[in-house]
Amino acid sequence: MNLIIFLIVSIFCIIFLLLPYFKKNEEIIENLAILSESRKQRVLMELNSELENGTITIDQFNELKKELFQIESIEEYKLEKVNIDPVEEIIKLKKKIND
Amino acid sequence: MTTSNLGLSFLVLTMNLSAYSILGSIIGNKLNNDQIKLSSKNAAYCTFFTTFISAICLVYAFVTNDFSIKYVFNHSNLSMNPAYTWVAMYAGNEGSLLYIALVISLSILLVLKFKPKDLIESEPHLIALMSGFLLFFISVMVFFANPFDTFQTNIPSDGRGMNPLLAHPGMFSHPPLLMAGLATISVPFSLITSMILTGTFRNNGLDFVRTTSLIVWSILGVGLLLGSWWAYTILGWGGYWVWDPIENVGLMPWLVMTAFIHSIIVQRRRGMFRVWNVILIFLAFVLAQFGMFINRGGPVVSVHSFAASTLGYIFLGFMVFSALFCGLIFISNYNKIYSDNKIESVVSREAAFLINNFFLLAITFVTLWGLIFPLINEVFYNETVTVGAPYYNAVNGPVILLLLFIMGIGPNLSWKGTSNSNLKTNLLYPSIVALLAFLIVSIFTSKPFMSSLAISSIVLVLSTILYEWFRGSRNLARNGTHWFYAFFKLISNNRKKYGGYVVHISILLVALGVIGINFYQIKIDKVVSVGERIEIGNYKIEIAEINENNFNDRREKVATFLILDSNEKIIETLEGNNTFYPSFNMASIRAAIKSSPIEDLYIIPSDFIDNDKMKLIISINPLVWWMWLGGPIFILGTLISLWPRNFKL
Repeated sequence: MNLIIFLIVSIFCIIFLLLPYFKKNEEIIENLAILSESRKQRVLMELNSELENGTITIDQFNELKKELFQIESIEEYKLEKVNIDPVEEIIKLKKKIND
Repeated sequence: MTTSNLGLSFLVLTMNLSAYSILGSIIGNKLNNDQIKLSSKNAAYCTFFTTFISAICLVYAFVTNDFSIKYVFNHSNLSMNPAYTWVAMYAGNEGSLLYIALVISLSILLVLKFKPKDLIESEPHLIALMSGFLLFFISVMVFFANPFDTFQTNIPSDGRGMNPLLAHPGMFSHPPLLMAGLATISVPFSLITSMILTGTFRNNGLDFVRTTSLIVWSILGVGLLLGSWWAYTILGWGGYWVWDPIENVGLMPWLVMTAFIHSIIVQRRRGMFRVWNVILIFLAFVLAQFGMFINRGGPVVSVHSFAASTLGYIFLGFMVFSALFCGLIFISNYNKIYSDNKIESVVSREAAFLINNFFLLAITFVTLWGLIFPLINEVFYNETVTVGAPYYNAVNGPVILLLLFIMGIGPNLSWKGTSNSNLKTNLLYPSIVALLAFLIVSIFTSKPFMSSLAISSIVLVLSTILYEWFRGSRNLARNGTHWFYAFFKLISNNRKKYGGYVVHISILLVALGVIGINFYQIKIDKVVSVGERIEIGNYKIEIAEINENNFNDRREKVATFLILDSNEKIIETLEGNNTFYPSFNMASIRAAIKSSPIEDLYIIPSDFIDNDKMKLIISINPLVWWMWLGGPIFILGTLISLWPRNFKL
């Protein structure tokens, strides 16, 4: 019985390991910019809460909000650089020049 | 195929799967081949199922009293309470290694399943690192500490039994939580390291790092507190916290993780403290490996060492390797980690977090020094030195007090800088309340200055929290919302912060208990006979009877105490016992405890002199009850912090 358990589990593991070589990976990579936006909203909500209970003033809120947008835009820029392939980058660059 | 063969076969299979997972991730990443990468990810998933079956084999062997397995023979016997056979798996070295491997494999499964898409680039490195960590533990078991090792001849009909000190309800929670906490520090460590290695140590993924860190940190924290409660009820461990080496090696990574979960907020909010965060998580990981080394054959003597083995050098080697690996990653990637953002004002939230980091690291290094100082002395001067509680209390006590103070002030400071009007609005009333508390305690008790300062610090932190909640709820209630609803909306809008506040309250409760015992305890030692009465505080204690019970594996002496109030009325009957285990040549003493929010009456039957005489240690421990209440509140606070954002009130 124990031997059968071991053999079944081992075969299952081998099949699971080999599966990607026979089946095309269809994992959809989410748009990382959307994730960045959601992160921005989360922090904004926390800043709002701090403004509501008086831990920060409206000026500080605005300043921190500006800083947050700056940090996230740098993140988005870095993400773009990672995700765009060289050809796409050239097209974008040409488009920019034309504009 | 026997159960032991099946268990070992699955360990070997796990070892191969882990190795494949590491190689697949590295090669797949190098060749940028998605199929290889996915196959290695699948192998990492499989390791949980194979480790799980292996663990089931060991538990099954315990439950069915399979004494042909040496590990079962050494940690179980027929007269043991059957409930403990289910958890005896982690009562010794080999089984606890299997338990740790199970936890690591589960954490791999969960991390890969719930990891956000932000971390897609660093996934191969993450898999390689986590599988590498699992491979280490599995290899140690397969080659050096096989939990399925069997007797070839003369299979015994009964076992030695579990260490008597472990036969306690705490066995079901404290060891598994503490081991899980130490092992899963590898999760945030692997996440951060993989992000650094792939040049993606950015804001994406930081929320997930913080969530996993918070889970790991709370598991470790609850494990430590449960251990404290366990040690409080059994005399052999000397009290709720005695700065024993094994206690200290659990505390140090927790302290560093405490600094980390605070410090990472600054990176998330302001892009600062990146270097700090990397150092902290690397240090926590190395200290966790140091803990494994001390616990498994390390050179320090401890009353808590149940997994002692001859494997110390292997864990020492792994710790040194971990430290070198961290150092190399840090130095070679410093330019990618470093951020040139500076703190604008010393009166700001980020400055408070920085001070918090320094204080927590100071306590960690004081504790580490106390732990390694006797070793250094022995190696270099051939002298035996013991570093005990007085050293830790004297050095760490004031730093903990300052930390409490920062806990009160810090959350009320604004990011970037705090204006005078903000300071006044947020801290004036709490400071007045704290000052009043200081004066009241100083005037009405004759205790040291430190006790008044400690209590007023607790009051300061509590009042700042309550005052902030009051202000926030009042603002939200202005548009006609009910106060009660406004309060819950306030918490719901910023769960991370206010969950943290609830955790801070639990820390205050623990601190209250510590202050109660350290400054206000009353203690007497006395030899008494049956029928005799003792007075302590407002209690009268009558020794009602002493009974002796003999079992196959132990001799138990139970003392019954009648607790009377000042009007001679019996308010409670308590029992304490002293049990001797001949096969271990060890006694386990359970204290008789009458617990209330004001104070604990704590009676230890430390020695039975003859049939009707015994030596008692009796104490009144004020406020200890609050320390144990801190546990559920700690869990509640962590849950609030971790509660998903899309759940709205």
